[in-house]
Amino acid sequence: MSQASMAETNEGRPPDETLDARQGVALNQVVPRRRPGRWVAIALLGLVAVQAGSAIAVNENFHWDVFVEYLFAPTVLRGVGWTLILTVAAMFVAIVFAIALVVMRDSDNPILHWLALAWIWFFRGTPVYTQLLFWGLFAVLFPRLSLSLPFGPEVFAVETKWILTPAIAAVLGLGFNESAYLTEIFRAGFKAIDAGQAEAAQAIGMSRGRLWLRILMPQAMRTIIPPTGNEAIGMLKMTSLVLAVPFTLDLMFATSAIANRLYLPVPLLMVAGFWYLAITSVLMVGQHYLERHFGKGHDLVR
Amino acid sequence: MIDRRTLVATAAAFTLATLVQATFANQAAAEGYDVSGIAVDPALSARVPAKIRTAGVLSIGSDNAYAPWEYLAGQDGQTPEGIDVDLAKAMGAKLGLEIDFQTSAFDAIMPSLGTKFDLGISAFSITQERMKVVNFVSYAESGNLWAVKAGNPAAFDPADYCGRVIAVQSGTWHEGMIQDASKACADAGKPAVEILPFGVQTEALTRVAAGGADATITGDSVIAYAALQSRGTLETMEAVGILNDSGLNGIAVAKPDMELTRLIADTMNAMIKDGTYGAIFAQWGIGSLAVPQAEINPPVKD
Repeated sequence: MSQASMAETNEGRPPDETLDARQGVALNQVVPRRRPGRWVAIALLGLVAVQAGSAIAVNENFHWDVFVEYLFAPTVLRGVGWTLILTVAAMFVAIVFAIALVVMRDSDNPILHWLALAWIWFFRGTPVYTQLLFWGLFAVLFPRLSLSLPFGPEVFAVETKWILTPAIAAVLGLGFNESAYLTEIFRAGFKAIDAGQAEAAQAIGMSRGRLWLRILMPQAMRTIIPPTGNEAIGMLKMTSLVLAVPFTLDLMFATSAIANRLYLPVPLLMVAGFWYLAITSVLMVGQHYLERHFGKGHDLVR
Repeated sequence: MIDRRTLVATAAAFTLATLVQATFANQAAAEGYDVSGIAVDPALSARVPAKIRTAGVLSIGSDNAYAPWEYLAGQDGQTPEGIDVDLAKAMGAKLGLEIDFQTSAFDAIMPSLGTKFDLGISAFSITQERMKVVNFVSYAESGNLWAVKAGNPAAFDPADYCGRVIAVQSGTWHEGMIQDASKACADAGKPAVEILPFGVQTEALTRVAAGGADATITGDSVIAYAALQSRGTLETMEAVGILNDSGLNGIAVAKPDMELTRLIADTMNAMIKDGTYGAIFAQWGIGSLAVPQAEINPPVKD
């Protein structure tokens, strides 16, 4: 039978039903597959979750009243602000250095190449806490910073302790450490682009600058953004280590100070945890939109 | 019609504004002994080393977590206050210098003298070992006290601390004493002391208050003050045996700089003579800890 004749006779009823009814075929009752195990699992997990939730919520040792009292305390909010400033500043320093290091690492100039390798090796090879301790003691190792003419008189000198304040030490310490990791991420982004792109651009006479800016960078961003966003979120948490310098304005120090005044460590740890989670959530949403922008024309639209 | 985008943007801007305001909110003035009445002593201020005189500021390193000697307070929780701060301000007034009381890790103060810091004022106990690397000017004498959780739930006995969990601040004389005591316990066949080291004394006290350690020991004024401030969470216990010993506290100066050491000693003695020293100690209620004379590198037992 043709499609046209079927359509004529069916007048609003689903085609299968009408056809099978006229032919006298017994139909299977189609029902969704029953999954009893799934329901049992949901019930069990729900029970565990409720137990765990109540064990935390009703537990006096958590001191939830103290948690609520200090959640928006002025020093805590100031700590949140400074943590964000440190994160942004350190990521900025890291990205600037990483861009320079990527170019140096893949350059033909052997000095630049080995310098970049040495930087990455050193800053990836030591723990960030140890590096921050060193930055805190930088003024002890190099008491004076001076600018002088080669084999000539000193032009300008200043004592390090006035330049390398705890804030600067914290930002540089975190930034330099992160730049080593970001260089590798950026390099992966550029490696992911097919070599033919660069060759074609050079064949039609594009300058190196234009090649980087218009061909390689936009394509590399797609691969770079997810891990870099990841690193930024990691940096937010790494700022808690600036106690090593010591930098005393960040969130962890603020909550620790209150905890040590009240002799109640747990609720203040939860205050810190809450704020770190809140900021991470915001950053994750931001990263989603950034990825969507750079994935236009490539990624599936969700 | 306000669309979702505008709403989100407005909320974000508002949150950012609040955060910025909280981060840079104005600071309150510090409390303590009023040094405005102290006049510059011309003889003493003429002896200020050239480097410090040019800067006009005396850089002082302290761990700022040892109330009532030094702690961070004020509305912003960032202004140093305490006995040491008042003594430093009084000395600064006498010498015609500003005071910069900086927060540092306790272990990092003595290595940083002469470069990052001019003086170290952090209630240092004067010991033979320390005098090999720095000069000390004695300015107070204090004993030791134990702090335990209120009600002494762990039944801590100051006469028998073998096998106990004891929290200490790392790098302090007290930590060294407890380590020696633990060795003595082990030599006598008893279980060694389980030592929990912390970067600052406040964290050791918090751990005791939370029940994670049986007791902590440090200077008597600090323990008494903590018990007072803890609103019934901490109790004091007298030290017995080798730990029941009083020792001198000193201001640390770089070993090679005898000139500055002599100046600090003479300034402190001038303050003792004209009654400023006595007034500060009386205001903080620690008159019994006063010394009759500030000495340079005094002989001590250990």
